[in-house]
Amino acid sequence: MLSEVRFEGVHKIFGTETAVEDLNLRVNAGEFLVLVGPSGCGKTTTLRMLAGLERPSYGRILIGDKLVNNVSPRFRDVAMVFQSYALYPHMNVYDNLAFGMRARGAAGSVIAQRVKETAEVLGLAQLMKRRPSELSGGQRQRVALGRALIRQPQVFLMDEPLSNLDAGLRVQMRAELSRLHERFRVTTLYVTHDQVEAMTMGDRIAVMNSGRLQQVDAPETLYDNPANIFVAGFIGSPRMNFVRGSLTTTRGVAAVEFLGVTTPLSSRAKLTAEAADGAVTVGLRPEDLMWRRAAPPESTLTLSAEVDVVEPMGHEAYVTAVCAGETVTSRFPPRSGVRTRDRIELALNPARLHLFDARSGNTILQRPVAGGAELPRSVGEARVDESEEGRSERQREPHTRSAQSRAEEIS
Amino acid sequence: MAVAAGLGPRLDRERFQWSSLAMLAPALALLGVLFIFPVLYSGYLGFTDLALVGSRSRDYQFTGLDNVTRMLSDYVFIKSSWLTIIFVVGSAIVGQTVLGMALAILLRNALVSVRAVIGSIVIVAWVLPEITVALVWYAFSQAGGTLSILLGHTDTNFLVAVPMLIVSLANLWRNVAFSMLVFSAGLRNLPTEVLEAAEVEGASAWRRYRMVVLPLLKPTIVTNLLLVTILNLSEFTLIYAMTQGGPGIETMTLPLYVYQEAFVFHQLGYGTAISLVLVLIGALFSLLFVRASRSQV
Repeated sequence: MLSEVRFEGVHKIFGTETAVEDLNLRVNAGEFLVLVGPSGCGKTTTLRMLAGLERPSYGRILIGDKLVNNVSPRFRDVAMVFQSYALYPHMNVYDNLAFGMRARGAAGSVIAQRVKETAEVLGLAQLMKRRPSELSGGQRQRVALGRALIRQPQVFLMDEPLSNLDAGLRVQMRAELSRLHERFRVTTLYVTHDQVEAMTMGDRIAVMNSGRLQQVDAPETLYDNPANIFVAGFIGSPRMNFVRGSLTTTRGVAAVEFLGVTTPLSSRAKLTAEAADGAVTVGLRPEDLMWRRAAPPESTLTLSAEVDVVEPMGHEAYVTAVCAGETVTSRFPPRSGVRTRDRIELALNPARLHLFDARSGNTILQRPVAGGAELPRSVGEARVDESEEGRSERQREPHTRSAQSRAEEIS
Repeated sequence: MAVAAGLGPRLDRERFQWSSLAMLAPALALLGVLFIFPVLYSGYLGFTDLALVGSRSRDYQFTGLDNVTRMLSDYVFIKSSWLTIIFVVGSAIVGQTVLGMALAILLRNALVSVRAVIGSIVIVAWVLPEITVALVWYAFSQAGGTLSILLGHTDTNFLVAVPMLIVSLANLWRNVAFSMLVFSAGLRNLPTEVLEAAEVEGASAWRRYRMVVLPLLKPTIVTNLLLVTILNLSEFTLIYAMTQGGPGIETMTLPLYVYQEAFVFHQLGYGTAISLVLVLIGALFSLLFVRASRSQV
C-alpha cells in the first residue's frame, strides 16, 4: 500500500503573503523525506496542504495517482503527528489510540488487537489507563506516534515531532523513528527546522527558504554539493565559513584568491556556466579548515591567523580565528593548548573549497561526489529528482538557467 | 513527601501583611455598609411582618417561621415556584444553552460575511431594551399578529393560549446572544491541533463534535449554565411588560410574585421571604452545575 506523493506547481498564498511558491516535489513510495528550513519558510504549510488542513492556492497535490486538492482530510488516508502532539486530553491512552479506528468504523475486537500491538511496539502497554496529562513528554510523543501508526495509512506526516523533547530524549526518539520507518516503510514527509534531524533521518532532504524549495538531495550530496549559499549555510554545524574571494582565469586555468592566498582549482571540479572572473564567495567547512599540526598532507594551503575564541566541546574544539581580516571557524582536536590571541597556522585542502556567485549566491563549482560510482541507489534517484526541481526552477529564474543546465551536463 | 524536620517554620510560607489592612479598610467598609449588612438585614426581614405602609412599617416584629408556613400553604407561591423552574430550565438552561452553542458552532464554520451578518442580528436582539423586546413579542403573538398568521390561526391570541411558552421564547430570543458569545469564546480557546488531529484521523463532523468538542467545552458549558441561570432566575421586566404575570397567574414567576406581595400588597416581610427562596433555588442550581463539572475531567 505504498504511495508516492507529488506536489506540482503548488502555491499557497495567505492574504498578501506567499507562504509557498511554485513547489514541485516528489516523495517516493516508502521514502522518508525530510523537509527542512528556518521558521516561516513554508515547510509546515506544505505539510498541512498535504494533510488537507490548508487548500493550495494553485497547483496540484497527488497521493498515489489520486488528485487530492479537494479531498477532505478524513478521506485522504494520511496520519499526522503534530508538534504539540494534539492528544485528546479527556481520553486515556487506549481511547486516544483507538479513536481513529473507531472513527473509521473498525470492529471492536480488531481495534483491541491493533491497540495492543501498537502499544507493544511503542512500549505503552503499562500506560493504557492514563490520561495525557499524566504522561511525560516522551510518553505523549509515543502515544501521538502510536495514533498515527495504528491506522496503517498511506502517508505519514510529521510536524516537528521531536522539538518539544529534551535533548537526550530527542536523540533516542530520532533513532526510534528511523527504526519504525525501517520496519513499516510508510511514505513519510517529516518537517523540521533542525538540520541534525534532517541529516540523520532523511533518505532525502528537501531544503526550503522563504517559501521556495532550494534543493532536494540525499544528505551527503546536500552536504558536499550545496546548490547555493543558503543550503551551504543551513546544513552543517558549525556553519560553513563564507569569505570574500576573487576568481581569475589565465590560459584556461581557473584560480581563486581568498584570505591572502591563491590556489588553482582542482582539476576534478568543474565551474558552471554562471562562473565569471571577479568577486566570488568562498565557502569553507570548519572541518576542512584544520590546525596545521593536525592536518593531513592533502591540506596544502597554509593560512596564518590569530585566535579569537576557543570553544572546547570535549571530543573536539571550535576555534574562531581572524585571518586576513575575516573571521573563520575551524575544528581543532581537543586539548590543543591553543588560546585567545595565539598566532596559529591553519591548513586547507584546496579540493574542499566551495565557490558561490557573489551576487546570486548559487554555487559555481560542481565538485565530484565522494564515492563516485558506488553511490547508494537513493542518491542516484535524488539526483534525477534534483534536475526535475531544477527544470521548474529555471522557468521562474532565468539567471539560474545556465548554471543548472551546465551542472546537469557535468553530472 | 518527606518534610524536612528540625528546620523551623518555612521561609516561603504565605503571610498576611498587617500593614495592608490600612489599605484595605476603605474597601472593606464600603463592602460592609453597602453589601454585607443589607444582605444580612434582608435575611432578617424575611422573618418579620414588615409592611410597606401602615403601623407595621414601623413596629414590625420578628415572627419566626410564620412566613415559611404561610408559603407552604400558599397556592400562588407553589405555582409560582414551578413556573420559575420551568422558565429557567426551559428558556435558559435548555433553550439558551443549546441554541447558543449551535449558533456559535455554525457561525464558526460560516463564511466571514455570513458570520458578521447573523452574529450582528443575534446581538442586536440582545442590545435592544427589554421593553422593546416585550413590545415586539407582544405584537408578534397577538390575534392577527405575525405568529398567528404564520400558524394559520388568525383569531388565536397566543399570549393568552400559551403564555408561558411565548414569554419563554421571547426571553430566549433576547438572551441567546449571551450564550452564543460565551460559546464563541470557548470554541476559540479549544486547541486547534486537537480538532485537526481528529479530522485527519477520519472522524466525521458529528463525531468530532460529540467526542472531542463537547467534552473539551465542558468548563464553558458549566460557566454558561451558571451565568444564564442566575441572570434568568431574576428576570422581571420582560415578563411584567408582556403579561403582568397573567393571564391569571399563568406567568407569575417568583420575581413577579415578590413584586406583587411587596409593592402591590405592601407585605415587605413576606416578599423578602419569597426572594430568599429565589436565592435558595439559585444556590441549588449552582451547586448542581459545579458538582457536575467536577464529576469528570
